Amino acid sequence: MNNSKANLSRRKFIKGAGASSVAAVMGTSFSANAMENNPKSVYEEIYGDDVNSIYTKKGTSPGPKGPIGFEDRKISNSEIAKSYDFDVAVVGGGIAGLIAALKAAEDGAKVVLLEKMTKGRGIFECFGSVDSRTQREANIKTNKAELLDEIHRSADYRIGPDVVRTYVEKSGEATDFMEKMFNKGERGVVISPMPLKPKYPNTGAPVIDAECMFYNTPGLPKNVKFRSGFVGVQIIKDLANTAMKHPNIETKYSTPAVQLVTNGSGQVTGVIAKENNEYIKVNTNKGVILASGGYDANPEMMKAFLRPEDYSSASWWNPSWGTTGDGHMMGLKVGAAMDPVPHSVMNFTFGSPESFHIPAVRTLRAMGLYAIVNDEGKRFVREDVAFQSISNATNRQATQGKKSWLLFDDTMISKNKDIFDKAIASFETLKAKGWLFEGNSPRELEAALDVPNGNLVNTIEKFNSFKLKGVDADFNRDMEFAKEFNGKKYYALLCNSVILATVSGLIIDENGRVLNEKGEAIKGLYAAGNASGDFFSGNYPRHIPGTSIGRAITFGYLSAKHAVKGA
Amino acid sequence: MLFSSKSKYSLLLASFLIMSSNVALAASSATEIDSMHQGFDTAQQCMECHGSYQENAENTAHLGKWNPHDSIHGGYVDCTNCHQQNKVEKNYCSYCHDYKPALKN
Ligand SMILES: Cc1cc2nc3c(=O)[nH]c(=O)nc-3n(C[C@H](O)[C@H](O)[C@H](O)COP(=O)(O)OP(=O)(O)OC[C@H]3O[C@@H](n4cnc5c(N)ncnc54)[C@H](O)[C@@H]3O)c2cc1C
Repeated sequence: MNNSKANLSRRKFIKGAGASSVAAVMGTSFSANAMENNPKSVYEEIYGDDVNSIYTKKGTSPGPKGPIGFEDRKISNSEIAKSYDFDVAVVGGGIAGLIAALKAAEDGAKVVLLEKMTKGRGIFECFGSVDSRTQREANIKTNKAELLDEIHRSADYRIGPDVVRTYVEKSGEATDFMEKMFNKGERGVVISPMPLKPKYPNTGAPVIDAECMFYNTPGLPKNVKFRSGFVGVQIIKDLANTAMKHPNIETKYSTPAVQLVTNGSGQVTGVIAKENNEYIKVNTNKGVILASGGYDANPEMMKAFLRPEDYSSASWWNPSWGTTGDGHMMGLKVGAAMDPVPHSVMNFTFGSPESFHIPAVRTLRAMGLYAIVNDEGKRFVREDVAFQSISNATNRQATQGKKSWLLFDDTMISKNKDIFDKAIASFETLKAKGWLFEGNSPRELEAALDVPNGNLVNTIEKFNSFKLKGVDADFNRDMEFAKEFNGKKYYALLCNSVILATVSGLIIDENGRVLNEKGEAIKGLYAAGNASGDFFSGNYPRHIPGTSIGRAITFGYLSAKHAVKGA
Repeated sequence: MLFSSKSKYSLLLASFLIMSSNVALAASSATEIDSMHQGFDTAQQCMECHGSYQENAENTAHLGKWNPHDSIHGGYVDCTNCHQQNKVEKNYCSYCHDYKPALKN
């Protein structure tokens, strides 16, 4: 009896007949607002009969809205304006998609690259890799067992062993392929190992040497660090340019993929997309690779699959909004298994109420010196722990309506006079927005912040005594990397958790093949990067070097390799 | 052209319909332009009168790499991220950048 509603929704979903399953086509390429007016969204119905709703109060997801490509309805043959034949179709022109398209093309396949937006998403500066050429030449010996162990531990052992082991074993090979593509490109992109700072930031977790960077690329501005948008855009531009010129690749921008095509036995044989406002069908004989990224720009999907506290009080730092989970939905619709909910989000601390505290991050000396307090002037987390953990603690405060504040004094701002002066100048804007308060003493700052009498003064005194003793009796922060508060000016800067991406997705095997719920590969279907899963649980573990871009490169490469040549 | 710009309703007709609705009556302090836009809350509705994403991007193409309708990070995006009816509620670009197209272009 209590199953009847679920049965109905399952049937509705499969037949694509119910009101909630018909994506309203808005005379555009996208069905952006399709799910808006439905009492129950397609994201909640996607599991069909076996849904077990976990009781949680929904939040509102205040983040940006991207244009949705996925359409949950039967598109009949008569609606198809054109058909194309390719060996491989890649959905998404971000890093995973470009690497996949280039690898398949280099291996001789005829490839179409479908990108929904005018440009593929490029937001990153560094990426995880093990034993690539540049790392080998620099004599870097990654402790692979330690890296694997930390990936498993960070996922609370909720993941399978194959995907992450493959990442550790094959990311170097994939990085070397990417390097070959940069050598073909025009930008002169240089990959080099990311220098390791041995004991900073001290997260309480091992520091693992397994990351590469692009900072040595000629022509990048000097202060390029923390400019992920800038670096990523350059890298994606270069790879996209190489793809466009490749004789085996046809690139189609502003062309959202909307659904997969399967044959009678469930094999994926193509993909339907929308080009110039018309449906096109791409028939593939070797595979479709979903490289469509996460769903950080789809508020409804965020609400369906994430913990409410992870998004309700967060800000967003994600300038490319093609990431609306289309690949997840297309895969689920053909029977793919997905990471269990709640999904993992990539969240950082140091968020402003709008985005990331970019000027503050550039000017505060060693971001790790500050203390964090809530509206009551009390600490609630060890401040040297990994970003995602501070975010979680901040979000926990927010569930009770409490804001978080970074506490620092003028001795913790850069020692470089120029940077110091810039910081002080940028504080004016922050003060005007109500994000920064200051005082000539802890007492004055306490009054300015309207913290209960004595709390902030006590917190600072206690913190200083912890520094003196070398032990943080409350949160076990490593006090070696803390500084006592003894400046002339005291500041409190409003601090949010900020969302960069979502990182859970379709379950894949070590070749990037998408698996169904029985663990069998769905023929002809692959997923890579943030559209794929079985890598993270809980949060994105920011303290492990660059696994998000590292995974995207590795499985873009491996899925293309497998699609073209088999195992 | 991906999107057609032909409006289904004239603005005049639309505003007449809205003015005679409860929504408009409730917001009596609104200007004429405000009331004209009442009830127009989705990107789809915006584009009925204001043209497609591409057309809007072309209208602001002189802003170069600071064109908010086709940014260097990839367009196009839902109008309602920044616009609420006839008002620019927020400029998402300025969340991360010092948004001064004239100076930096
Ligand atoms: C500010 C910032 C800094 C970051 N820095 C780092 C870093 O230094 N290191 C790191 O490892 N990670 C970093 N990340 C995370 C990283 O950006 C992502 O994890 C990464 O982009 C994922 O790559 P992807 O190829 O899987 O997906 P994406 O890069 O998201 O690409 C997916 C692409 O698919 C397109 N698409 C979506 N749906 C469709 C459709 N239906 N049809 C066609 N195309 C579609 C999208 O438009 C997009 O271009 C950062 C993120 C942010 C926001």
